[in-house]
Amino acid sequence: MNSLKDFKKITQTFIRSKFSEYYIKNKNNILAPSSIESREFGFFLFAENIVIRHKTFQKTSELRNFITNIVPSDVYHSAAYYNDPEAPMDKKGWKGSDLIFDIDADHIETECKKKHDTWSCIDCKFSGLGKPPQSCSKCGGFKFNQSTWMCNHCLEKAKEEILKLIDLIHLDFGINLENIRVNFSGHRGYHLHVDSQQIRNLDTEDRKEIVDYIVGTGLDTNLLDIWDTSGKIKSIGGLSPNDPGWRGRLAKRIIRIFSDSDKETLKSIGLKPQAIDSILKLQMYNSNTNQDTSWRMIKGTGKHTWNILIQKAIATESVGIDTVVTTDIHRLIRVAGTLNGKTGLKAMKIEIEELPEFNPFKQAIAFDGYETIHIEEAPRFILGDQEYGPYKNVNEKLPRSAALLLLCKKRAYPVRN
Amino acid sequence: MISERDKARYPFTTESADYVKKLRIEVADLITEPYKPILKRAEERIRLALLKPDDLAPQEHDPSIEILSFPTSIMLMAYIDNENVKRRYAVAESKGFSKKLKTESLEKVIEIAQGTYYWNIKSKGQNLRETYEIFLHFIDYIKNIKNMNDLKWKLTNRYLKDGYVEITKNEATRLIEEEIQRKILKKTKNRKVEPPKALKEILETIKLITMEKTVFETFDTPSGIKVENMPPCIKKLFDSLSAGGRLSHLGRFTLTSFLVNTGATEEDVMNFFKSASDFDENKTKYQIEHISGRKGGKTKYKPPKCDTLKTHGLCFSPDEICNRIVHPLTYYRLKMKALKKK
Repeated sequence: MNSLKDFKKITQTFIRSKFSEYYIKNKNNILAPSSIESREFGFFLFAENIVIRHKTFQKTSELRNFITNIVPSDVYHSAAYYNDPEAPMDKKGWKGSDLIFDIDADHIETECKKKHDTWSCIDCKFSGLGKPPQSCSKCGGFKFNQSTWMCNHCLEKAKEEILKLIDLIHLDFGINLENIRVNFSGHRGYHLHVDSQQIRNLDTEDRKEIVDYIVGTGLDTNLLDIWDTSGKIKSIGGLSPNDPGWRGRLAKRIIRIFSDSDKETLKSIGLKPQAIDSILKLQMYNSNTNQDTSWRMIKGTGKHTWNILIQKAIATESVGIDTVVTTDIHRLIRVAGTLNGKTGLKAMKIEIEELPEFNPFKQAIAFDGYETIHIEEAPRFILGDQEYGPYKNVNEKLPRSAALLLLCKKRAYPVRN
Repeated sequence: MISERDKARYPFTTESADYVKKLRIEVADLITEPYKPILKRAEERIRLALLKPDDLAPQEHDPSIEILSFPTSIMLMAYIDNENVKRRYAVAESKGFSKKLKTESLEKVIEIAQGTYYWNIKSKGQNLRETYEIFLHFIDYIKNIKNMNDLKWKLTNRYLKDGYVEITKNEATRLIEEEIQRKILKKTKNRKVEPPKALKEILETIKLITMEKTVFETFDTPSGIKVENMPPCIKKLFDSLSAGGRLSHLGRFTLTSFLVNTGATEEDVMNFFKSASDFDENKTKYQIEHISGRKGGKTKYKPPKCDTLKTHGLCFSPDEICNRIVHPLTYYRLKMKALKKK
């Protein structure tokens, strides 16, 4: 009888051999970052707890050969540029860093997490669905094991966020699209890199200011000169969708709320019946007259209503980035064209114009062929054109990509044919 | 064009620095008769900056002395081994310059920002929002708002388009002030070498100035607060302020609310904040009264939760206890409890 440890080992060896085959065939798809000689590279190996750090390469071909020989589970490069990338952290000589953003479904609230993510308390093994609580409701413990799943809905949400982010970086911060690179992480999110000389020297504090802008932190509606208290009709001052910065974004969003929302939606935002009535009347008026200007003067709505609308607009316009990643100027980030050890999917570069149509469940598939595995437990999921599961304690012959997903997610182990 | 008068008024500019370089004056020359007025004016600059900062204003009757006195004062300050004093000097000098700069034309302000600090800055020309006259690239903007506590400076609250922030002329001079201050602080970094003999006497005089009470505020830890029980985030803010540093708005709020929630009196906190280099008595008093709940909404504010501090980059080197808590006050209470048990 095999012990649990043996199963783990067998699974690891199995995944590693598939990764190896992949890299032998596809090593030319591995994309090195710019100025490769100034970057630090890091690797996770399949053998548990082994990390190789502080590696450098002079040429892309060296990096590709190293990966093909070592077959790591995950490959990272530093966002930073160093004088001596091989030196210990404090002796590397920081020369600058790309500006990077991480949008991860982990940080975005989605309803489906309550269906596919689970947690269990390390102390008392009590478990539940969704995100772990602040403390265990049974024993009061603070530490949890989490088991997450990637689903179409979560990733679509993450894509919406990355599209919002590109918009902000390009239009507000004036960064050229050719300096913006977007990668799918191979798991639950997207990475955005800004690789441009002018931003390289920004320090942590500078980057935090950019983060605050993107999230909308510190936004003070009084300072945006929004309130106009003249007369009985309350309106949002001269707020116009053509304004630069957050003002324009708020105006556009509020117009959308007015024009697109039905009664129920407006109610769910927290608006009072009188305000809802007024908005619906205006919608009717606008659609009858083909006008779109009078939204500023909605009768019967006071500062309270406007505040709710503005807060809603801020929440919607704010981009759900992982703020820690962007402010960390020594961060390691996944190399495009390598495999993600948590899923067996490709971390890959996506052209910005192709992003809206990008489907990670099809385009990030790395393997063909079939494998038979024993599945302990897995929720229903979609990969490629096929729907799978849910499974519980069954042997299944699956397309290799689906099998590897379950193996990498530790939901299954290989079965000898 | 930067005129002779401008060089004397704004001796930090590239043009003034070039002028000084061409003269090739050695340190030993400074104590010779023809150059003595320079050393005298340098001493005066420092004395005013430290004791009567509001009186520090350019003397335009002899431009060459004025121009040369500035790099001389900076050289002297580099031999003073006290960060707090240096910061005070830098603040006073830069404030003096920006006060004068405010009276200049838009073109002059832009010229100095471009010529000396290589800012990506341009006049806005005709536009709808006339209050803002200048476009400044966001990189130059964010580099210079780090010490600003007012929310109006946050990028989030600004017009930002195509990489440019809209600012007024006065705001531009305020930002140049920050740039000057930073450069002075950089140039007055400690020289690890013995000062030349020629400077011994004047350095003694300057040291005496720095001993005067108004310059070196003694700082008192609020009574009853156990510094060793503070969580790392609060300790860091506390240390930074104690060393005469500046805190961000949220940093200030976090520290103040932590102190008033752990038993410090308003007076304690006030005295403590006096050691901050940008101490503004009225503003600090207002903040403390509001946070402690005596004024305004009457609610006593608590420091932000760990999560919020993390978001804002105020969570520093969390330790074992930090892993168990979600609020900095809990950390303090846990440690106090442990102490009582002992």
